[in-house]
Amino acid sequence: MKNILEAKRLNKVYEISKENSLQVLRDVEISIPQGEFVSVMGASGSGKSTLLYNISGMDRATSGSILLCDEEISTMGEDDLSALRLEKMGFVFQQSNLLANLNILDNIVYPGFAAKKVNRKDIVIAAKKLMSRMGISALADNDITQASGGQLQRVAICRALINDPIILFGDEPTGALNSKAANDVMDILTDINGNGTTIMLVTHDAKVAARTERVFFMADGIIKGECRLGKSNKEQNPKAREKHLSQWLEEMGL
Amino acid sequence: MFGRLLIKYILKNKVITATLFLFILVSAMLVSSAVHIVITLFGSIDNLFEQARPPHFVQMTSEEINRYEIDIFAQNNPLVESHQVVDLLGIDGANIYIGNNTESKRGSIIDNSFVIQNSLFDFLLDTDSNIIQVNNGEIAAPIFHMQQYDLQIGDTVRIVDGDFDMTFTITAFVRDAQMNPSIVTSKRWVISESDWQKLYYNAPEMEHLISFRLHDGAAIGEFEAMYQASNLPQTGIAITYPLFRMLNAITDGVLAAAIALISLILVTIAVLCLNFTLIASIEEDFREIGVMKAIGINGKEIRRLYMVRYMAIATVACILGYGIAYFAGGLFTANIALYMGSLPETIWSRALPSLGALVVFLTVTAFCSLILRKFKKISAVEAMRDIKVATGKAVGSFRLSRSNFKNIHIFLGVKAVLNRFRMYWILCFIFIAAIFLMVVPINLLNTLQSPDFVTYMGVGRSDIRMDIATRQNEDIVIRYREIDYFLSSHTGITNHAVMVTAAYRVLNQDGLFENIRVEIGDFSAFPLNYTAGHKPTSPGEIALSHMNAVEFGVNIGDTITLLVGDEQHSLTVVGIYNDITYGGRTAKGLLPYLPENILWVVINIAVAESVSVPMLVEELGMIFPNVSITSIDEYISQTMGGLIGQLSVVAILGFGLGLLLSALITAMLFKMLIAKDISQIAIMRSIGIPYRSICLQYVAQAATVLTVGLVIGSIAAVVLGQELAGMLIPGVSTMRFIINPVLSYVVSPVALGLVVVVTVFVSCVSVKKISVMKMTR
Repeated sequence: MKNILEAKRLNKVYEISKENSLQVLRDVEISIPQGEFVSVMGASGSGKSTLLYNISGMDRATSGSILLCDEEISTMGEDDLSALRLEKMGFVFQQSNLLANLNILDNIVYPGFAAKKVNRKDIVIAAKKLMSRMGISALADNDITQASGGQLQRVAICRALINDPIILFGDEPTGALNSKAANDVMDILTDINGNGTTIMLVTHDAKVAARTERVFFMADGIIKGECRLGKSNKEQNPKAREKHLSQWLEEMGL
Repeated sequence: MFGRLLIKYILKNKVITATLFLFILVSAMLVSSAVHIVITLFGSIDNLFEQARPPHFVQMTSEEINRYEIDIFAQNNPLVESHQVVDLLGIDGANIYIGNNTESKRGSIIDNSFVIQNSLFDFLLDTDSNIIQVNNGEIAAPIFHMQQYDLQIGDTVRIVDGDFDMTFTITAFVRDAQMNPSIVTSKRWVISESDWQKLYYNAPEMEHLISFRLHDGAAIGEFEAMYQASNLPQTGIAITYPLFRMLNAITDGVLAAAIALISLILVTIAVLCLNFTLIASIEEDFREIGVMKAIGINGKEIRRLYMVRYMAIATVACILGYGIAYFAGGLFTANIALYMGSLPETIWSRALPSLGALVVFLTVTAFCSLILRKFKKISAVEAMRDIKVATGKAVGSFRLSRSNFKNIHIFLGVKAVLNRFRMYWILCFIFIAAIFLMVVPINLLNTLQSPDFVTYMGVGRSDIRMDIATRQNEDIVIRYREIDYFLSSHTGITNHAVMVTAAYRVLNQDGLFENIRVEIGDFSAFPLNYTAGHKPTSPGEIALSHMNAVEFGVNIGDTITLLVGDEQHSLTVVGIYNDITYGGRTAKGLLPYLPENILWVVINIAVAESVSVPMLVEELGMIFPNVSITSIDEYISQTMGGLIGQLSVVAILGFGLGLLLSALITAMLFKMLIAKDISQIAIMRSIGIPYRSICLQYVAQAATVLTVGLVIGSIAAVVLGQELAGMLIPGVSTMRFIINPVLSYVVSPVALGLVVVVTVFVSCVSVKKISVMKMTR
């Protein structure tokens, strides 16, 4: 299948002072085919979140190339990058990161209204459909302080999907949730991936990674290896996938 | 430790500290300057009055006088210390050539009187405040002329009338305690006695000032009544010592009042900014405060930390503000120094302005302490809630998903203001104050410069006025009838009205008869705007100027008793109008008059559209040489010139200050807002909202607040501004601004809007630097 995202010789160096610098990514090469569900694992400081932010264009790599749908994004201007994030990418973070002065429905429709791809009525209908799919329809008019952490994370997923993105990025999307809520969120993401959306997650949690198709392992800014688990489905025993991944991670030294 | 913490705070909050510092500095400077002006003004008036010894009571008259009768009256009156009669030799402007000018002063509304130095009191002083002595061929010119025509010592003044030609050399400039102010249209020139005799022989138009100095300045009222009960001349204007003081104080007093008002606004703004910075700073330092509390530092100590910070800023700003006022003070008092002399520097003249700066310092400190007291009992949890409110919550009915507003970023900007108005009311107040500051002086200036301002001078709107003085026109009735006849047949004149002002006696509240000037004529030709009631339509009715109505304690429908000849007439007050001329005390009626009671005659003229006003003034001047002919624009600019000049400075200052104020506070507030919104901005950037759209949201926030501020400010500028202006100008009960809509409603708001928008855009530069990582902050 055609690669939707491709990073070549990606480096990220933070200048700490004139004499000192810290290299977080070292010649990283990664390619993700369309429709794949991948995750990146690694210890704290291994560079996995930096990788996610750099290949999604939220941060600027020091050198290297990033192709998204054959388009080079490492040299793009700020406005083009914003447009790309708005129209072709979706993001889910560890915290729901919703806007405090908008209610739940408004938070979801906001990127849709800003992108102006379809008319507002259709965006509101789409938002309501997404909410219903995530089981949070009743919260539409609520303030963001009137929902639980798990519910807010679902709202964040709805917001990420409102513009029908090509790729969805997640930075520890279940990190702040209890295991039940985390499992629900992973069910939703699997469902979304089943509909054709490419997903790339960064996670600490082997249980979460075990639900993805391919797991990259990072250490010291380098991708040390990958583990192909294949598409997960309901007939499969999740415990078997988790066990397989754990063994591999052990081999990798985690 | 405090020093280190202070420097750290200042470096971290440069814009906020600089803004606060600037406001306190300018406030301290202005309050000090206003105190300095007031001290200098009253000190200089005292000095001038001490040296010039102006009379306590003056009766002007152009009647033949009996000096013996005056002497007898003065000798028998126990209140009188000394008295004298000053003979004013009136020379028409048309006969005076000043400097190298080949043009005479025809058309000038100034009454030029030539006098000799007085011997007993009412001395005419030079610019060193010495009593002027001139030799033959020398002349001392009024300071008003020196300023107006840029005269120098050694310039010449020629008086030409037919074959008579006399040239004087200016050797001094006159400080005249009685006639200094530009609002007084009579000016005295000093010449030698023998020159005066020569002039008198050729131009025997004489007016007299019957002047009295009293033993006790407090007995003026009593003396005035005694004089009016006597048989001495009463047909001219009678002026008293307090009016001389008031007239001398008015021009610079208005400037001091305006500066005091501006400084009051600035102090208020400084305090509001302090309130905002303190709240923002405490919210920002919330965790540190919690830690400090946790390790046992009590609230008093924490408050002291904040107090020291702002007291240090206020101390430096106030000292510097006072310093600037000290060195630049001469700028504001140059006019006073010129007209009334410099005040010798005393410890008080320097120490009192510093009290002004001290008041600003104490005000700032007191408010700081007051604001901090509010936080005394607030627990950590409550402080947390406070932050929540400041960030804003979703407002029920104002929803993005239901909005049809075309630009969602503008919509979100407006929504942000509605959600957290608490954060914006200071800015709103600033915009109200700024537009008030910008527009009120402009409106007032425009009103004073407008040809319609003449209605505040007790006459209707006309194009030209002719002033026929009794002293230059022996048979004034024949003279004005002649002019009236001529004007009736002039094709360039569409309308004219002869207004005769005659002297009558009116029964005052004390049961005594006093003089009153009543204007008689056709009041429908150039209608006047009456603040209450209407024009008199029958001989039994009278209209009074606002000050006369107050003086006599009457209102519409009340009656006053007037002596017409020997008969007492009861007249009903039917109208009250604004008048700032002749000390604000005039009246209008349809009474019979005797030629000898006429004080002056004014003819108001309306000119056909096709006719040039200056050309007609010129033409009429040639035909009627002994009549002062002025276009209304010229008349206003000559009488109100000084005030208009001062007000122009205030208007420019107010305009600039309004813009500067708005820019500074907007920059400060939006810097704080953006710092507060940092995580929300990072979220917007992460989901792909471009930098420009985020800036647009902030511009929309500013524009929303600005719109509210502009509407309220513009209304306040008219409603409150008119009240304020009415209070500043004596003789005016209700001031109606004559507004220049382009300046007040287009230029000012657009300038303010531009400044605010540019400032917000500049403040938004920091939005670009906010990385998505800030979300987790």
